[in-house]
Amino acid sequence: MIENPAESLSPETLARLYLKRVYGFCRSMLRNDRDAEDACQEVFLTVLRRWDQLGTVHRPLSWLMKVSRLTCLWVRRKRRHEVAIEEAGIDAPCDPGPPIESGTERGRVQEALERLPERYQAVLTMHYQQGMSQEEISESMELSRGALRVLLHRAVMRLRQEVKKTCAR
Amino acid sequence: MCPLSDDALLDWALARGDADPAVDAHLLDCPPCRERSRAVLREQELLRGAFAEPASPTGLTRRVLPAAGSRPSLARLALAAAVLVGIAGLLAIVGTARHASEAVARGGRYRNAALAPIQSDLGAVAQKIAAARGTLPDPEEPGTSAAYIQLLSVEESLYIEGMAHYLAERAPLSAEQELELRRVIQSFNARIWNREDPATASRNFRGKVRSLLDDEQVLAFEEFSRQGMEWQWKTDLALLMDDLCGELDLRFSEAERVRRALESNYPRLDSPVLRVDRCPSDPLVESAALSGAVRNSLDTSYQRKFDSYLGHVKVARDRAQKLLRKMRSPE
Repeated sequence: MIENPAESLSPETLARLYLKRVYGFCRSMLRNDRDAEDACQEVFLTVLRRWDQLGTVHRPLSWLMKVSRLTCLWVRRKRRHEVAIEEAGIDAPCDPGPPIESGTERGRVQEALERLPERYQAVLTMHYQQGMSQEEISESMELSRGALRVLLHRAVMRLRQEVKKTCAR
Repeated sequence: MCPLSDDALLDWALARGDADPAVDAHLLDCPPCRERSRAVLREQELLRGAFAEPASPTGLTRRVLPAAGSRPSLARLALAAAVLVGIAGLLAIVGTARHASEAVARGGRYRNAALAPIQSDLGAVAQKIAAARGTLPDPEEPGTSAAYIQLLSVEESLYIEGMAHYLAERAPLSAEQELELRRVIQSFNARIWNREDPATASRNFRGKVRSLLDDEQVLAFEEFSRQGMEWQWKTDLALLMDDLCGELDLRFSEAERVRRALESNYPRLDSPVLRVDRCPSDPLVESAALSGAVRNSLDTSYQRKFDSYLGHVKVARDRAQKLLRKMRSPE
């Protein structure tokens, strides 16, 4: 773990270390290679601009994911064909049913993921793809550990529900 | 009925190494729950697979980052080390910030807590000055300059206030000394604004300070001044980078090259006090070596934008200087 990048690395080295992870996150959130690449550029430009600030960041991955998420939101708003972010539906109760069956095709899961609100997509991507700890994700999303646990739990339940709908079609 | 709910089981699976040990204990003793937990774990495995990191497109590193494959040279590492040592020293610095933005406002980075509010105010004023400078009308037009001059005065006062705080902890000034020092600093600025040679004005200023303060106070003042200049160099560089990134709409690879060009060529001011008349972009029009290095670091597609940026900086700087000469004259 790089504790304090500004005291041990150059922005270029930090970018090299995290480029693929940032790209992976942006690609998952934006579902478009070109947009993901542009978002990556923006993220690392932000690193360069806020390099001083990084001196006080103890978890560069959390910080980078926070910047990546905000950048992706900005790109999604800009391209205007964003699926509506159903913030109102985030906390709505749902009946998710049993766990997703292991034989389910990945494509169906990915299709279901696209229909989730942005916050759910972000938290699931950080958890499953980036392998971030709950502590890291809560820092990145500026949530308490408890709130993060609830968000993650609800995101999985909602994903189960959406996968079920996808499979029923 | 078994007490372990579906929700608890999902939380257990999501928590990984941080899971509730009571759930682990229960699973050891309860075969039906163990079976349910296996289904949840299989789901987790499936989701990890579905979220697998997408392959990066060919050439991503080359497009996003500069000079793919290169590693920092020893010279760069040495430079970085020197800069870091400098930064460590500067953390103790007082409110000598000028044209500082967010970094300045983070009072927590300064060991002298009493100075944090001054530092924050200086940052806010500096931002206003930079913004005002960009929109200054022609100084020949009547009634245009009062607000700008007022901002510079506020910055000057804040700087003096910060200095007094710094000295108060090391070699306190008497009320008369502080008043006189304030007057000498204002006089120095007025001389600079009226095109007196900065080296001569600095010599003159230092002479006055030595006659005004005792040896210990002079040492403290010089330390304050030295740290301030170091800090200002770094802050100006960061702000100029920020400005260039925004104005030229640079990509990361370009910005990284510009940063290197600035680090190697951005001049260090040899001034005994904060130069409230200067903006971070001024050295670009004052030093052909700096502007040339920055221009050469840019791809040709950005060079025209850079030339236009330089033109705007020059106009704004000339207007500000004309204004200052008109508004303040040396004693």
